[in-house]
Amino acid sequence: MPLATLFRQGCLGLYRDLRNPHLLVVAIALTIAVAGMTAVATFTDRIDRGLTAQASSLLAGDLALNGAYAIADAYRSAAAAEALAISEQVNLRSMISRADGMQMIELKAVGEKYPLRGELQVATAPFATPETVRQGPSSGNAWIDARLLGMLHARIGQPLRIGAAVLTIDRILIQEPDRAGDLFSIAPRVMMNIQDLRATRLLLPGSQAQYSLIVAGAREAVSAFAAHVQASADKDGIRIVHPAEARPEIRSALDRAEQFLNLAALVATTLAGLAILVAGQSFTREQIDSIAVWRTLGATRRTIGWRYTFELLVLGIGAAAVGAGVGIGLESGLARTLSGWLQGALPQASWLPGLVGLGRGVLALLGFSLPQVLALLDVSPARVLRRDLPMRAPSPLLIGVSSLSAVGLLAPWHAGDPTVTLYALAGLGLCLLALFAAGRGLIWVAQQWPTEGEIRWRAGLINLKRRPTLASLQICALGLSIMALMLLTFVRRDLVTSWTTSLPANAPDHFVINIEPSAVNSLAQFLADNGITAHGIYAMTRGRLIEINGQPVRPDAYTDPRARRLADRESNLSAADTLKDDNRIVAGKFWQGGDPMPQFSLESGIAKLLGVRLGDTLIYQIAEQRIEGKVTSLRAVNWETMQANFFVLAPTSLLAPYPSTYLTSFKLPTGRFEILQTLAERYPSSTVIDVMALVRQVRAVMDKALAGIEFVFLFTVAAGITVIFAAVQATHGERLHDATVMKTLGATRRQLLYITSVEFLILGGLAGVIGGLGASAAAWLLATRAFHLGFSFHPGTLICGSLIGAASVWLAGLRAIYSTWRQPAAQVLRDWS
Amino acid sequence: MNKRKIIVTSGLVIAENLSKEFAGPDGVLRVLDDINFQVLCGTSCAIVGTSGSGKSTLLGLLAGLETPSSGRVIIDGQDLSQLDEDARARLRNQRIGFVFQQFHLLAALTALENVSLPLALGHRPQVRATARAALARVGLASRTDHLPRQLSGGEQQRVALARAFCTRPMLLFADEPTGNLDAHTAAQIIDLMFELNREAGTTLVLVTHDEALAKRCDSKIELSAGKMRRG
Repeated sequence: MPLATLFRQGCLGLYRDLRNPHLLVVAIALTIAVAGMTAVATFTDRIDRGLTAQASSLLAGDLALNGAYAIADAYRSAAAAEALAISEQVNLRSMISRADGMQMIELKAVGEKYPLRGELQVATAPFATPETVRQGPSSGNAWIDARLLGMLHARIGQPLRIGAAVLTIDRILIQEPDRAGDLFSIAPRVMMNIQDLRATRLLLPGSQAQYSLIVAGAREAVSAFAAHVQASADKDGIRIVHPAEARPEIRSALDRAEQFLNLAALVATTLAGLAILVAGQSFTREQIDSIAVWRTLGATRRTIGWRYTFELLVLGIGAAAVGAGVGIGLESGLARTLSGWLQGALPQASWLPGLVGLGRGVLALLGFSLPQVLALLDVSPARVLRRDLPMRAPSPLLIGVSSLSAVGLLAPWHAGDPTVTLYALAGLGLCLLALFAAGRGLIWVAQQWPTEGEIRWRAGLINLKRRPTLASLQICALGLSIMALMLLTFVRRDLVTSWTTSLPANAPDHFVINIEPSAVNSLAQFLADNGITAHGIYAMTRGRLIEINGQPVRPDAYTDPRARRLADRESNLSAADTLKDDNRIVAGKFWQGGDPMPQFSLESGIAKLLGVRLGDTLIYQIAEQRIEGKVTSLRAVNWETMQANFFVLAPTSLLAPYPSTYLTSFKLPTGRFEILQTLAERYPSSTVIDVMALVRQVRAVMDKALAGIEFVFLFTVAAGITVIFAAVQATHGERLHDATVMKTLGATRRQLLYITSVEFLILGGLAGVIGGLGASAAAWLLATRAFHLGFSFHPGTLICGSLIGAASVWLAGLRAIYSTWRQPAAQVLRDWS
Repeated sequence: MNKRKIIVTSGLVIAENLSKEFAGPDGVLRVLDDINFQVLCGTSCAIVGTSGSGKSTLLGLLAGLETPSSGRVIIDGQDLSQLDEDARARLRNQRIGFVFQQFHLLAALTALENVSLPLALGHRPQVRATARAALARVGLASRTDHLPRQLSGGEQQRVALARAFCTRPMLLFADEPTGNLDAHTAAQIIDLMFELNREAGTTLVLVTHDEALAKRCDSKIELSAGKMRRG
C-alpha cells in the first residue's frame, strides 16, 4: 500500500479515534509538555534578543574601561587622540539613613557627557510622564529610584545626605541605559554628578568602588583605541569591555535561568511522557482485535506500522501545535513573574521557539510511544480465532532506551553547565526510581492493613492491588510534582528560618567597611563609648590574582561561574599575623609573628575553586604594583560565626606598603539606630552594612527568580495529574465493572463513593507522603551538606503533602466515580460479557 | 376484571405493560414490547427465547438494573419506578440474589471476600462467619482464600451461588448460569442451585437457552422479538 494511502488511513483513523479517552490523554499530556517547553524557550528568547538589541546602550557607550582604581589620565589622552567622546563614572555601594535604620544604595557618579549611548529617562514626580534627557544630574542634585523615595518617605526637592555631602533630590530616575532590570539590583539607585563625589568623602584609596572610562565614536577609532591601550590596561588591572560583553551578569544569569527553567520544564515533559506511555499502552491494547482482522485480510506489518505511526504523528503535530500556542500565550505569565531582567519592554515573542517546541513535542511523543506501535506489528492474525492469545508486550528495554533517549535529547545541554544538566538528569532518574520503589513499598504496607470485617476498605484497595506497577507509577509521578512544589515553598522557607535561628546570639549584624586608617582608633572608641563591642578590626587591601605558578590567570579558563568571577575581579586581601579562633589550618603552617617572607594563606574552598595548591606561587596586582608569595597554608573557616573573615591572608609586613582600608563588625543594641546615623555622619567615607537588611534584599531577588521556576513547576503538577488520568483511564473498564457488580449486589451511591474514594485518597495520600518525604530528604541534604545547617524534620510537610495529593487525585478520579453512577448496570454487565 | 388488582395481591415479581426502547442508528428500537406476567412466591420461572429476543434486558428491568421506557415492575409489593437508585440498591441487597453467566466475581478479591461483599454492604452481623458457612455449603470450604483466577469455571460459579444465597434472598435472578460451563459441570451447578433454592424457599427467575433446564421450572415465559408468549 503506498505511503500516501497509509497516511490518509492514519488521518481517517485519528478522526474516528478523536473521542478515544486514551488518545485524548496523550494529546493533553503532549500539549502540557510543549506548552511548558515553549513558554520557557519564548521567555529566554525574548530576553536574549532584548540583550542583543540593547548591547551598545547597556554599556552607555561603545567601549568601557573598568578598574578598581581611578583610571589614569594617559587613557583619556589616548581616547582624545582618536577623537572619541569620553564619559566617566564611578559605581559604589553606600548606606544612607532612614527613620528605622540604614538603607543600602547603589551609587553612581556620572560625568557631564553621560550617557554616550542609550536613553536616560527621568520624571519630576512619581507616576509622572517620563522625559528623555541628554545628560545626568547637575552638581548638587541627586536622581533617585522611585522606590527609594517611598522608603525614605521623602519628596522631590528635599535634601539627601550621602556620606559627608548633602544633595537635593531633583528627579526620579526612570531608566538608565547601562543598568540591568530590578532583578539584578540589590539596592535602589542614586545617581549624582561626579564633581560632588569628593565632597561625600566616600572614596578612599582601596575603597570598594568601580571606576569606568567610557568612550564612543567611529568604529575604527574605537578599535584603534582598544588596541592601543590593551597592553597598559592589562598591566594596570583594567578590564576592557566591549558591547557584546556588557552586563555579563545578565548573560550569565540568563544562561543559568535557561538551564534551570528548561530542566524544570523537562521534569514536566518526563511526567507527560509517563502519561503518554500509560495511555499509549491502553490505546494499543484496544487496537489488537481490529489489527488481527486487518492481518487476516492481508495487511502487512509495514502497513500496520505506518498506519499507526501516521495516526500518532498527526495527533502529535496537532497537540504540539496547540501546546506551542498555549506556551507562547502563557509566557507572559513567566515574563511577569520574572520581570526586571531588562529596563524597558522586551521584544515581541517570535514564532521560532514555538516551532522548536513543536518539534520537541513530536520527539517526546515518538520517544515515549514508538515502542508500543512497534509491538503492534507482532499482533497475530490467529487472534480472530483465539481471543485469549496474548499480545506480546513492548520490550521494557526498548521502552527504557527510547524514553531515556527522548529525555536526553530534550535536555538543555546548550544552556549553562552541561555537568549540572547531567547531574540533574541523574538526580531526576534516581528520584523517580526512589519514588517508584517507595510507592511500591507503601502499597504493600497498605495491603497488609487488617481488613477483618471491613470489606469496603478492601474493595477500595482492589485497583492498587490489581495493578501495583501502575499505581506505583501514579504515586511516583504525583509524588515528584508535590516534592518539587514543596521544595520551592515550605522547604525553602524552613531553610531560611533555620539559617536565621542558627546564627549565634552575639553574631555581628552590622559591618563597617571602608574605614580610613586614620579613623580606626577613633571609630573603635566611638563604638566603645556607645557600649558596643567590636569584633576585631581588620586591614583590607584590594588586589587581583593575575598569575599562578607563572601562568597568567584567565577567567575563561574556569568553568565554574564563581571561579570565573573571582579570576576576573579584585578581591580583598587582609593582613594578619595571628590566626583567628574561627580559622583552622588544614594544610601547611601559618606564619606566627612578623615573618618577613612573602607568603599567603588561602581559605581551602576558594583555593580548590581556583585550582591553587599548597606551595604554589601567586602574584597579586595591587594598584600598579605586583606582589608575589608562596601559599604556605590552607585554612578552614567557620563562616557560621558571621565574623569578618577573608579568603586570602598575607603577613602585615607584605601588605603594609599598599593602600588599605579597615573593616569591623558589631552587634547593634536593639533599636539603637541613632548610633548608625551618628557613625555615618562622623565617618562619612565608611559604609555601614546591615546584614539582615542585605539578606532580606537578596531574598527578595531570589524569591522572584524562584517564582519563575515555581511557575514552570505548575506544568509539572499538570503533567503529574495527567499521569493519574492516564492510569485511571487505563483501569476504567475494570473499575466500572467492579462498581457495577457491587451496585448489583446492593451498594448505594454513598457506599460506592466511599469505596472509590478509599482508592483515590490512599493513592493521593501516599503520593503526598512520598513527595513530602522526598522534599524533606532533599532539604536534609541541602541543609546538612550544602549549607551546613541543622535539620529538623517537620511532620507538617508530610501532612500538607498528603492532603494536597489526596485532594488532587480524588478530584482527578471524580470522573471515574461519576461514570459508575451514571451508566445503567445492566448495560455495563452486558458490555463486559 | 381488574388485572392490576389481581397481580398486586398475588405475585412476588410482577411485570406490568413493560416496554424498553433504545435509540439506534436507524431510529428507535423496541427491544421489549408490552410484557405482562407475574411470578408467584416460592415458585420458579424460566425466561426463554432466541438470541436478541430481549431475555437479558427483561431480567435487567426486573432486577432494577435499568429502567423501563414504559410500564412498571413490582417486587414484593414495591413499585421499582417509585424507588430511586439507592433504594433499588438496598432492595436488591436485602431481597435479591444474582447468578450470572460470566460469574462477575471481583478479580482482586478472594472467594471469601467476594461472598462477604453483599453481607458487608448490607451491614449484616457476622460477615466472615456467614460467608465461610455459605462457601462450605457449596463445597468450597478449603478454597476460601483463593482468587477467582485460581478457581475453575465451575468453582467460580459455586462462589457466585454462595454470594447469591448468603444473604438469604427471597428472590434469585439467574442469567444463563451454565452458559460458560461444560455439560457435566453445568448439571452439577444447576442441581446445586435448585437445591439451595428449595432449602431457602427462594423464588427463582431464570434466563436460559436450555429447554431441559426450563422444564425444571414451574412456569415459562417465552420471548420472541421482544414479545411474550406464556408457556
